[in-house]
Amino acid sequence: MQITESVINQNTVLYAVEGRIDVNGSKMLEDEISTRTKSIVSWKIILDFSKVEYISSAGIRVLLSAHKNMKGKYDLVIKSPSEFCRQVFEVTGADIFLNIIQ
Amino acid sequence: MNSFLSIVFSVIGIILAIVLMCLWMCKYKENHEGYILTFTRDGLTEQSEKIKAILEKMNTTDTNSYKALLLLEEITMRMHEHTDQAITAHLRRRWGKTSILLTAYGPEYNPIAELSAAAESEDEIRNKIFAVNKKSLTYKRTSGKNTVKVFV
Repeated sequence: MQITESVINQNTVLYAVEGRIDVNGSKMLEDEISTRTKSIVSWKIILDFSKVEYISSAGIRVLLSAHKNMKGKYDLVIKSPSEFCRQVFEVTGADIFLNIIQ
Repeated sequence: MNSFLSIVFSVIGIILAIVLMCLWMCKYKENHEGYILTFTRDGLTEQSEKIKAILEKMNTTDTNSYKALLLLEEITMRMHEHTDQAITAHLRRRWGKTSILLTAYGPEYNPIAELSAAAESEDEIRNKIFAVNKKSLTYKRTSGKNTVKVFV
């Protein structure tokens, strides 16, 4: 799994996530989110999921936990998830909590 | 003359039976494939990639392949919490239908049964995934083994 950072504007930073977020990938994602959000000043964080082909319960837990921790500090947005990821978000009810955009 | 004709018909019958048997065996081989892999927590990503490649060869759609990988990962994670034994994944295709058997020796444990779990925990998320996919999953306990069958 890879994450590439790009600053969109003063308020928004985008992380393009690529690969599979399985039990191993989710640990990386958790570490990356926690490390990167320590230093950013933007209030809106976009996770571009267009190149994430797979996500499991471990990844969903990381996203829900990040959403919970960021609440009030940052606005976390999941952008363009694949059809499979969208289905997992729906099945697990994560789509109710997460801000998912196309 | 009669006995000559009966010999001819018998020979034709035998040849026909052999041809049909060969055709059936070819078709059987074409429709029956099997692969056995060992699943570990650490090697899960690599094993999943191998399974994805095999499923692709079996003309499984991407969405169905990822759904199977998701179920395999969730079952494997639960099984690993209850046994130190290796988990074997037997991927097979019978007459166009693909299934994966996940088997591990150990005390009786049904990994697809609903667990009481804290909100937003992985187990709670797993419960939901298994509930939605219950028609694609069966559990069986035989000869000291826990086996879950995943229909792809």
